[in-house]
Amino acid sequence: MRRRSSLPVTFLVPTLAILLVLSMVPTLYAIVIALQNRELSTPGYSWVWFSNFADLFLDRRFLNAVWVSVKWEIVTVVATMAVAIGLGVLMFEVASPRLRNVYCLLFIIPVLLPRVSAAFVWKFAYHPLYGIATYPYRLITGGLIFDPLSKASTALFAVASVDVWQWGLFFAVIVLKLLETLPPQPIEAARLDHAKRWQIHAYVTLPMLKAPLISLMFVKMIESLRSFDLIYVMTRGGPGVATETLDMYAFSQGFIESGKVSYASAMAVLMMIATVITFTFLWKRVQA
Amino acid sequence: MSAITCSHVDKAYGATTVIRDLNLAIEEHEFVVFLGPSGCGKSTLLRMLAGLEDISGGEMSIGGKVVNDLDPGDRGIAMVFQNYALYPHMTIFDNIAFGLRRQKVPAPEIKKRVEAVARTLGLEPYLGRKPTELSGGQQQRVAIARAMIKTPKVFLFDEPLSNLDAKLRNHMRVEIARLHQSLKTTTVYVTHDQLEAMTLADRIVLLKDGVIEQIGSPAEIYRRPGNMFVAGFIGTPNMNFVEVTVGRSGNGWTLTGAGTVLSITGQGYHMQHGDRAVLGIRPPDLKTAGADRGCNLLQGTADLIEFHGNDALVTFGSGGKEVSALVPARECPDLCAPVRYTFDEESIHLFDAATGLSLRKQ
Repeated sequence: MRRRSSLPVTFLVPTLAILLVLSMVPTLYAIVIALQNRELSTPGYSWVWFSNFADLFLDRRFLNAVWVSVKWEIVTVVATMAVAIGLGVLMFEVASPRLRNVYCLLFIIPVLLPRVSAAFVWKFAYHPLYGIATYPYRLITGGLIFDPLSKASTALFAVASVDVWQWGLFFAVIVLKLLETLPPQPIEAARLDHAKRWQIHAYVTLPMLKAPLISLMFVKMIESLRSFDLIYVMTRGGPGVATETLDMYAFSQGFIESGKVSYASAMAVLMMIATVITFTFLWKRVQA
Repeated sequence: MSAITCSHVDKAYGATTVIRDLNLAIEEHEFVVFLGPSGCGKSTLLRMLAGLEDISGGEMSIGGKVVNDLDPGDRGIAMVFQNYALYPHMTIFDNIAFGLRRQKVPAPEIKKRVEAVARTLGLEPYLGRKPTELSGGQQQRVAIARAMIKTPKVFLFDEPLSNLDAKLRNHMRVEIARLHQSLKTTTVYVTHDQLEAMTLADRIVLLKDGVIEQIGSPAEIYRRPGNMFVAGFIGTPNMNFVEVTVGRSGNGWTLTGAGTVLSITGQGYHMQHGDRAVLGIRPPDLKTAGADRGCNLLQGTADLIEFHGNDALVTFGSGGKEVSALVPARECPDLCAPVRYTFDEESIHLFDAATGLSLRKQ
């Protein structure tokens, strides 16, 4: 009995210790730095406690970054889920099993691309003079220039479209596979119950898939938080601050513009707290 | 006018034909059971009626209207599935009301009708629950309620009792029979269980490999099976088959086989001297022969005895052929004891050895 009970401990303790060190040390260090006034240009520092946080709430660029982050989160998550469900259901209804496999293969390719590659591909595609994505506009308007990445009103959506292109198509494959796992009888019963095609999905199949779809949404929400590389390559937060999310702003405050690492750390800590609270709240809501 | 007509109906999946040139007419208010071994096409046929499977050839009509190309919802049918097929995320009330809501029936009327149906089936206490919180029998009752509420022209049941345990199955079978007595809705019921078929059906349609073997009332099918397949499929314990050679003797006929010679008058059968035939006799029709009985005997040594309660099934070898007799338990012989059984001529069946068809004159 003793040997049996000590085995899990033997395996768990070292791994958990490593994990704890790897995750907690940087986190705690970030919190410590956020309470100081370190800058990259000078080695000296002093403790300023919460003045970095106080400054943040007076910083209009920070408040803009919060708003952009929220917009980014909502736009990418909603669009991804909409594309995933729409395309998944469409494939389920229209495509033959053979064709479905072909589509699935095609739809997985974008998400396999490294983010930076995807970002460059689309940056070229959105090029106002040569881009394939802007070509239809030039064709219709007889050569007018449209540069979605350098207009404040469209830049965020243009970048978000790349995110949705990668994840929405991938999730469509998952939604299709989920639909295929459903037992066929409730769908047949719904057909006998006078339900139209779209009603079958709205009232029967998608509600039956509620739990996995919510899990998918959570995955996408977490994934959307990590969009730094995509935005960095495509717009660097521009034009102006139109696509400057919190992580972009923290990065530029910490390393590019002023080297204020303490100020940047304060942002990171705030982001962490906000994320933990939001996700805990949402998770509880969903479980209930 | 018949409620359902199938004329020259075919069903093929690619090169495989599942149902071949099937013709069938089902009368209004009739309870018809499709019976057959698994893979005989009975469920496919039902699903074609429901509109869940395409019809490859021929014509199907329900209530005088050709339904080949109609959507399942527009055929005036309601179906009960083997695994209930309830909507798992909806309450029982919503499950029953789903069809009415899709037809845009006003909410107060839906409430009234759902409550009325729930009352009939004893589901009132469960209306607020989810399907998973109900037992198998209750779930099946919900499925029946969901079918009933549409007041269909035809009820379709696809092996509705197969997922229930034996006791509940008997109970639900009685409920379905009562329901049909009170509603009188034309019903097509698919099963592989001959007891269900015999007890519920007005008429049984016995299918094998997508072809109708025989149509008739349970009594007809039991008493006058049209061929060896029907004879062997219907009736438990299974009918004994003994290969015999037909011979003419005086005014009657002799059947030689299984180490014995049987003489019968042969009235009512088509026979010729020298024919190869198969004698069919049900185990309950074999009777213990008295010591003075000298002819029409099947005898051997009892090598297996299965006790059934009131009766016992005695299996013995007769001329190298295994034969079973169902005898009252008190007449049950000891194992390995010699047994002698006889029969009345009215209870035998004769089939052509080559075609398997009954030799009985129509």
